[in-house]
Amino acid sequence: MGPKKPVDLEPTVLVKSLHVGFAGREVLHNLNAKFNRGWLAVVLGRSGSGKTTFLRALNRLNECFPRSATRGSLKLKLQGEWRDIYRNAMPLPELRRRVGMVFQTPHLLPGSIADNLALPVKLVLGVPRRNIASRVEWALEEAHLWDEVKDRLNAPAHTLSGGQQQRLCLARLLALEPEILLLDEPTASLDFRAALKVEELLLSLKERYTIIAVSHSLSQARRLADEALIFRDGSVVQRLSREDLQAPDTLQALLEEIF
Amino acid sequence: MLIQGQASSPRTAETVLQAHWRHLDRRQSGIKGLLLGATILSCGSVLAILGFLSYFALPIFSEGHLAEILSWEWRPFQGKFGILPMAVGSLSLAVTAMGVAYPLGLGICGFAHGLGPRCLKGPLMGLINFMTSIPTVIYGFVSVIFLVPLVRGAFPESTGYSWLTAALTLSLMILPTIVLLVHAQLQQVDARVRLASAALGFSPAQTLLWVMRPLAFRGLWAAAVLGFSRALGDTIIALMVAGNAPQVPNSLLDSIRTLTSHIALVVATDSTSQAYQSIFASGLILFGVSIAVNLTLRRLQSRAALPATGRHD
Repeated sequence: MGPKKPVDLEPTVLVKSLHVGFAGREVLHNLNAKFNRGWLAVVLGRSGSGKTTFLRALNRLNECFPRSATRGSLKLKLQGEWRDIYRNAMPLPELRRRVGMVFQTPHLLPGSIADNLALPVKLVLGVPRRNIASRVEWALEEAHLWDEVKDRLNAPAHTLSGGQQQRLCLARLLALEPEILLLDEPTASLDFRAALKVEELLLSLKERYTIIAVSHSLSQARRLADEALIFRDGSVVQRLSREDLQAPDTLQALLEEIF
Repeated sequence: MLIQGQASSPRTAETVLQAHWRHLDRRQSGIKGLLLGATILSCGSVLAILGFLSYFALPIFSEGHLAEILSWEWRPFQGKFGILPMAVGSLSLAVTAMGVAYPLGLGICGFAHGLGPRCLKGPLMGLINFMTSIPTVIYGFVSVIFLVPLVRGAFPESTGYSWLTAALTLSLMILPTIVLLVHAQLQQVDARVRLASAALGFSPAQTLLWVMRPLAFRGLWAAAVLGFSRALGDTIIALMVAGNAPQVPNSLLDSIRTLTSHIALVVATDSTSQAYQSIFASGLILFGVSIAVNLTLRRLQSRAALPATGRHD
């Protein structure tokens, strides 16, 4: 039961028989998947099913852990050009800028709200000093945060609420002009209201990006997903379209599968 | 006990609970008392040292020897007991040793935290740990055998027992202190920021410089204070390789005497004359400088802590 695809969907991520292991223990086995621009995919599954490892394979963050090994083919379409990121890779910082990631809990950089955006823009993107302020403003607008923080850009970033911090992390990501967004349970540390705001933001962004989000919440997946991938023991066992997710009987089966 | 109480009747449950709280209270105040005692004891010891030093240095003030002792010449047989050259010697030695050891220590920490290959981190930190266990006298001893002839060979006008030799030896001695303090702090910070800043596309060097350095500033200050205090307080290395000439040095190749080795030398040879009094003044100066450095850096540190430091826990 594959998703019904509109004709203009543009594939940007192709995963073929991906294996990822750490210290000889394999976490992902023979994983196959495809993702598109303008399409929000939600990855569901029990803890330990390899969801986070899968996301981290896409920006090669697994390599930050000792004795990681990745096999298979993982092709991304970046700047209109297909490349296998584990073979003819671009430099890691460049890849990770284009494939941005948000974590479960907000990870702030030291300094103020503005610093949090300006530092990566300056260091990673090499934007000249005079253009940084306008880019900071643009990114905060994009993350629906500008109105809340425009009067205190120089306040320490940790004075923001949890939901604002998470949107600041998203703004920081967007400021780096990514093409693919990886979200690892971005609302896990937030209360319901703050989570809804982040979800709203994601829906407004999905037209222009390829978004892959890991979630623990089935209701969140139903609100957000154009497509859901169900993980079990390190591979995709089921793909569900938006319609499938709304159908009550699939839902029952899914509840048993995941929880 | 608690559960039984709750099960029988609310009134008993309450009394049981109150008894339990009283018990906790007593235990807590016991612990508080113990800690207070330890605090008083350690503060008391420091104050006692200060009092003791001041008491013995008192005759210098009351008998009007202060000007003699705070002068630039040490010729005990001609009645000149100036210790200012030693004060200069102590400060110059501590500052130069820090000047070598601190950048080196930061470099080693940077190497271990992302700039160098991961496989070398273990052996490197192992070596540094091993260095802490070497007695100071061994550093002095090895320096006398290797470094002194080396300096003498490179600069024939020097005897080899010089400010330079002592500074290099001392910097090796304080290096592990600096590295271990900075490393401990970086390790704490590293766990929090490594993934997130890698995911932003920061290189390890950028992470270290722009993310970890601001978060680890406490450790950087602490390492500076402790390293400097150790350099200032060291006696044996200065005594063995600095040459001990009581003079203000003109160059790195000159022989110098520190306040600490001055105390050791005078105690070993003399216990009656005004020379003996001078060591209490020396002790007082050392004590004062140590406290001043501590307080200054503490003030700088708290001022640096005011602007955003990005704690996010």
